[in-house]
Amino acid sequence: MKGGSDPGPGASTRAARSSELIDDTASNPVSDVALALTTLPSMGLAYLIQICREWPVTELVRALREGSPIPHISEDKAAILPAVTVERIERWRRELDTVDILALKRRYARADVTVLVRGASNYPERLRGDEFTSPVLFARGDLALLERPGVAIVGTRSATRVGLAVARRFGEELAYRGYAIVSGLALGIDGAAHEGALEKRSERSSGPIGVVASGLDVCYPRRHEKLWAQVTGRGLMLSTSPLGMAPGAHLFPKRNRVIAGLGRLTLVVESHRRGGSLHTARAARELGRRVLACPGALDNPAGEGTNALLADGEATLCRDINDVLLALGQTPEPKSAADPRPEPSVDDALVLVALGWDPCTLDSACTRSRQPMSRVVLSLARLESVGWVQRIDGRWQRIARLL
Amino acid sequence: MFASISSATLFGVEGRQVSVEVHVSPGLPGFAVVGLPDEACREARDRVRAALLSSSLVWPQKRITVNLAPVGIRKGGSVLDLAIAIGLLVATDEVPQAAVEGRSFLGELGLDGSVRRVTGCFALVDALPTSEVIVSPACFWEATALGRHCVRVGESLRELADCLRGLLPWPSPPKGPPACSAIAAPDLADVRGQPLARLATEIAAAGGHHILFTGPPGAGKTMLARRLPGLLPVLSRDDALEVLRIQSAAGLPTAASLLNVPPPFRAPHHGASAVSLIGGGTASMRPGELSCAHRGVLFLDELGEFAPHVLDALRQPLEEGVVRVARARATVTFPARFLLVAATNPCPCGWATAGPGPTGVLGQIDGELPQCRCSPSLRDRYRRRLSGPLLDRFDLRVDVTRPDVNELVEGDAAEGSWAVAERVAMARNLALNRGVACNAGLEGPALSEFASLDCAARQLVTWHLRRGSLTARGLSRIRRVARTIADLWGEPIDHALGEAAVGLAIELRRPSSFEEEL
Repeated sequence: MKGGSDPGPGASTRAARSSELIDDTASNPVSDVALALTTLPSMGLAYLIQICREWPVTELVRALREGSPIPHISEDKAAILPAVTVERIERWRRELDTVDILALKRRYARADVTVLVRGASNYPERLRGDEFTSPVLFARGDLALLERPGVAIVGTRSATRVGLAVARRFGEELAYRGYAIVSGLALGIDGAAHEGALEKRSERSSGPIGVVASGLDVCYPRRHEKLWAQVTGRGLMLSTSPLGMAPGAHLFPKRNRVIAGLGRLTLVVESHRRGGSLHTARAARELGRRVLACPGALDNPAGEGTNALLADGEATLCRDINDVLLALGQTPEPKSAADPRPEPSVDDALVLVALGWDPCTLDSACTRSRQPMSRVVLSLARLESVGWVQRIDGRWQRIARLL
Repeated sequence: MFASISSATLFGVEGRQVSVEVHVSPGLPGFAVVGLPDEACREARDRVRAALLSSSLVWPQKRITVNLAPVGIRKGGSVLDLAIAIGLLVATDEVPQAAVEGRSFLGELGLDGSVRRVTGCFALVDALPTSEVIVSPACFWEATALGRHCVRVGESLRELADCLRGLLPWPSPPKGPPACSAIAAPDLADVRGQPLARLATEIAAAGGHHILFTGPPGAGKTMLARRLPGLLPVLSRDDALEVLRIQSAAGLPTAASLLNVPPPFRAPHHGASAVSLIGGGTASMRPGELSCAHRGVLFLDELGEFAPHVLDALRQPLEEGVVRVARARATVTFPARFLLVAATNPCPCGWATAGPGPTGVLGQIDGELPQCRCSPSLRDRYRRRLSGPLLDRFDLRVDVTRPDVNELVEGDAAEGSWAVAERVAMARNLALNRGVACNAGLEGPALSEFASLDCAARQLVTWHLRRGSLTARGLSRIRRVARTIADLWGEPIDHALGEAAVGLAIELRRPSSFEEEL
């Protein structure tokens, strides 16, 4: 997992920042101590978010370093943060003393990981207002992507082929229009959206932003090792966890919140009745971002979640790229009235019409069209090459229109 | 005091002629067998002595030395028993030397003096230079199948000794060959519906293309696979010779003549070990299931349940058509050119790609078709058991879905095996004219000569290549299959392959649930 092997456009700034980190040994700036804080054994992400809601990171770090009491730990605040006791703060202070900050910094510089701390200039602008999001983020890759407008594309891990195709298509189209695709690198929809965003149809295409819950050196899921490397090389990887952290169920909601925060809107492509992508959608609504959802077919269990979002009015309908562009405040692209696909021949049209709208095997296509197999195969091969039908999981399916 | 008797031993699937030399001399009584006998062969001492004594023949109280020449090769099994006993009788002048000239002896002895059958009789007889062979009655038909030797039989050692002395006439051979144990292959007419899968089976039979059936339980994968051997033509004389040699060496029942040998069908269970498929063994080199399916069909049901290392052992034989088994003592080459037919579920529960059946979406709502319950990672692991290189060997990958309910209930009876077999035989004849046994064997210049693409077909292939749904390696495989399809459709043999044949070949090789790319 070496993103450094492929120097992206941000390589020079990254190198400069690394050297800056290493040279600055004397004064332990805020970001260093914040980094040290995240690695303390008794410090978890939940604590960090909680205390940073009350005290800015800078203030907390100063207090811990100087040994002065935590400022303003009044009665009512202690009530808000019942777990953050004076003893616990003392424990953090003790543990902090044992951390070799210089070695830690070297390790992160070697791993090419930048630490983004709330309050510092490199912390993503779009997350600053959200007190429930992680105050410390770890980044590897092209930080300039944080300046780009982002679109979050999320969805279920066990997606249908159609869902995956849709996510890939939206990822590609939006990246092509300069939006950074923010997603979680999970199996299913997330991965497909990233794959689409990596297509890079032109120089203007934006690289993707992957947000993960494990440390940046712990690839999860393992099946996406290649995708992980590609996003690191051509985009930006963000993590809410320090290096070496294994993924855990409790980390994912915080990761989802970062995804929702980075996107100008969140698009849910497919979701089961219960799923992490619904959490992302809720976080996006809390943050005042728009949520779009693709409708699912009645018999598709992976469409239940998105349909519920639409039914409850929590999401607006996404039928094609224009719906997304409209929600982003862009002018929708005029649809050419004519179908760009060439008109099929009479024979092919016969097969196409007989195929109907639900996916069917070659055998049923022959039965439905009452044509010999040689003829049907021929027609389907022709129709496929011009985009009238597609073959998914061994079944032929008519394509209504190109997305 | 000395005699030399001709016999043979088995090495792999080949016989090797052995001269059994017996020397009887005065001295301390004893019996030694030299010349690299293995354990079973050394035990011949006790069997031969007991057989001679219970046949009321003379056991010389002298020093007996038996040498098995050539000395360099290892002799296994009990096939030399009879030759040693006859040699002793000649050396002690019980049987005249002239009676064994030009004759070979193959047989195991029982303690009561009976002559028993030996495995590999066909291959053993093949290795004998003499014009006459003496075997047990149980081996008669196997020994005569080759048709080169005069085969005589003997029930017991006593009877044989008397015949050799000229006291008795040679006994008549057993009447009629044993009933052929090969049950006629089931008929393709039993398969209702499934036109694509039936067509794929026909193409596999005609072109010798390996075929993989994928589908949910009860879709008819095994049913189709079992009907494939019935579509193949009977073996030519040369092929039959090879097949009989292997079957005989493996101890399987063999056909009684070379003229009507059906292609073998082997279906090992998925618990099979690598050695049982490949062949080998420590003492005797026995042919494995792969070789037993030589010139026939090897059917691996539940392919995903075979141990991965067992499946990967198939790769080299699939490529080369032979199995080379190397052991410390020897290396044996077994022929193994078979048609591989495999069936598998797409995932452990079997329903991964079931999707809506031919009855449409409604069937699914009715709960007619179960949905896959496997997690993606479990499904992934199951699929990874089949390595890419092995999957690549399958030119035809057919998704078998449950047949349409209407066709099951009221469909017309489908075409029977004999009609399909006729087309298959015709296609195979066309391949023979091209200089290969079947189209799967077309390589290099022959492939470009006989399987060129016409303009429309080239366009179609280019589209798939550009899109990445077809690789260069897949292209040549598709051309072979398309050639077979065109042959079966009766298209002119000198025309370039058309769009329809190529389209169907692509359709038949496309990602079933097991692979993403062609």
